[in-house]
Amino acid sequence: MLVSYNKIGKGYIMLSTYISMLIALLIFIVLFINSFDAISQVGLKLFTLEWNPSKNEYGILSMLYGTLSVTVIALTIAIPLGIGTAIFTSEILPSAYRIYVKSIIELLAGIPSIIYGLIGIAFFSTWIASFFELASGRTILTAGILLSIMILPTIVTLSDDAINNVPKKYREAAKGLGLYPFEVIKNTVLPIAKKDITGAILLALGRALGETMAVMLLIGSIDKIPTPFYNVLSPGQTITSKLGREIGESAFGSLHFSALNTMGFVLMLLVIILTLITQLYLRKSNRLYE
Amino acid sequence: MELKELKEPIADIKNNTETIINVSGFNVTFGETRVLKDIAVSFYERQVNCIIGPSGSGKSTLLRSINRINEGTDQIDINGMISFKNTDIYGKDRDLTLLRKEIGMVFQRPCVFPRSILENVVFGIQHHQKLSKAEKLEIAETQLKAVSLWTEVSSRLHEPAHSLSIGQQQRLCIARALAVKPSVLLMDEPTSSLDPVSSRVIEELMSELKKEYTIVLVTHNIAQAQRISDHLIFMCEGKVIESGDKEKLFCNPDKIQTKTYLKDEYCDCNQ
Ligand SMILES: Nc1ncnc2c1ncn2[C@@H]1O[C@H](COP(=O)(O)OP(=O)(O)OP(=O)(O)O)[C@@H](O)[C@H]1O
Ligand SMILES: [Mg+2]
Repeated sequence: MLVSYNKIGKGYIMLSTYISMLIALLIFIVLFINSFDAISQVGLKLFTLEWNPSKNEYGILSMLYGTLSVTVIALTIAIPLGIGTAIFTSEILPSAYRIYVKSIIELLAGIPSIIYGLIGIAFFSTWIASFFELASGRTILTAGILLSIMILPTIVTLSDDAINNVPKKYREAAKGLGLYPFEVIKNTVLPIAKKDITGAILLALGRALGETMAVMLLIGSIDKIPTPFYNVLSPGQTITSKLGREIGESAFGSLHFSALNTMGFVLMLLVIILTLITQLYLRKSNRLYE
Repeated sequence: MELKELKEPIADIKNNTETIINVSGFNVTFGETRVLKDIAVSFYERQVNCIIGPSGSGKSTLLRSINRINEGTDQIDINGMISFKNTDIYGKDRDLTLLRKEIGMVFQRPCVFPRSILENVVFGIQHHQKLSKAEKLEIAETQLKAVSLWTEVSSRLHEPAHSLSIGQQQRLCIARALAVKPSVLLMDEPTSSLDPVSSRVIEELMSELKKEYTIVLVTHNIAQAQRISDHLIFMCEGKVIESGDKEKLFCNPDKIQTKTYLKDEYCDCNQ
């Protein structure tokens, strides 16, 4: 009987693994098939700056730039802030309060992105506009900052778990050797939690790359790479905001539709490549350990 | 000639009645439960001071109070006095880092960091002073030799410490504690997760180490206490029932509970 239970359990686990793998693969394939027209007809011209469906020009570079710059801004703000907060909640805050602080932070993660977008339009962009004396506060920077707030809870709660999961014995061993509290955190706890913290960042990265609604409302939606390219106080466009805006007006099966799919495909490739790089890096840096 | 050589160190130890750590009127409470009750006890320099007693009697709590590693535990309340070399350990502006540098600790289960063997040995000391690569190697060699681990690991210093056996890991932890150059070594049942052979290796090591270090050892193992201790402290239900010379406690204890415990490993402290 035990054996058959084991078999059922194993079968169940295998089946669910296969199903999720299949779904991921199917999405990839469907995206690729739908992109095929654009890839074969537009070819390398996909990587140009002009996007004009009426002239059959489908350059995605500005959108790619927008996606990357918004994500970089969001991560640059959210990673140090998030890990700092996680260190505070897990190491410094008395454990009686930890659960409350964490619940509040987790609540932030549950707010729908359209709400963030609305708040962003109502306050954020006007602040940015008046602070930098701009005509419009809808810029790449605005979207990036808002996005950083949106991904912050993910980084905080998952890093907090990661740090909290480091067994107490390591802290005590380090303390017993006379390390100062911050040395214990920096040289003992964080290195052990590093892998899980990276996982948290990856998840946040995925959300940042994929976030549509709030970014669409705040980025200004102009298909252009600003001049100079680092001037993030100009409006821009991300892959997702472009998709969100245009997918409804493109006819199914048209070249326009296919080009939009290609952008989705590129976005997915981006996520996969970033994940692979991180995992490879982690495996390499962890070779000495365990 | 040979006899004399053997005799001298023994006489030496016997004559050494210098205390290095003195505990008096010491109480620890976790929440509502009082775990240590009015403890008064001394630990002698360059001896193996052995704390024995039934499970839950507060041995670990007492040991962990000496380097103040219990602090930060929720709902803990500590009062009383522990002095180390005639200075108050619980003094207001005591630097915990310096205290723990002087009083090292080895835990029940070996806890190596996920780093290489070499990095583990120098992990503590490199936070107290800057070390060059050569110095690190030198310290590693000295300390690994001190715990007789050198021959086993000299060719694999850069391998992960987790690849060692548990007994080897425990010796690595001792080497790591020694590298910081403490004068006291607190050991909380350091052999309880080890096999008999590795335990004996560590026991021999302790007998060797007491020439230079003061050892405070918690053990469940009465035979072990008999083999290696000089000074014995018997605790039960948060109180020190009796303390004194090993011979005295084993042969001619003052308290009936001590006698019962050492003989039958049984204790009813309310007798
Ligand atoms: N962090 C803690 N919180 C609450 N109670 C604790 C804590 N640590 C220890 N205690 C309690 O203090 C008492 C003494 O514990 P301690 O670990 O000092 O005993 P011990 O003599 O070392 O026992 P053992 O031989 O089993 O290791 C026990 O009743 C234990 O439940
Ligand atoms: Mg104990």
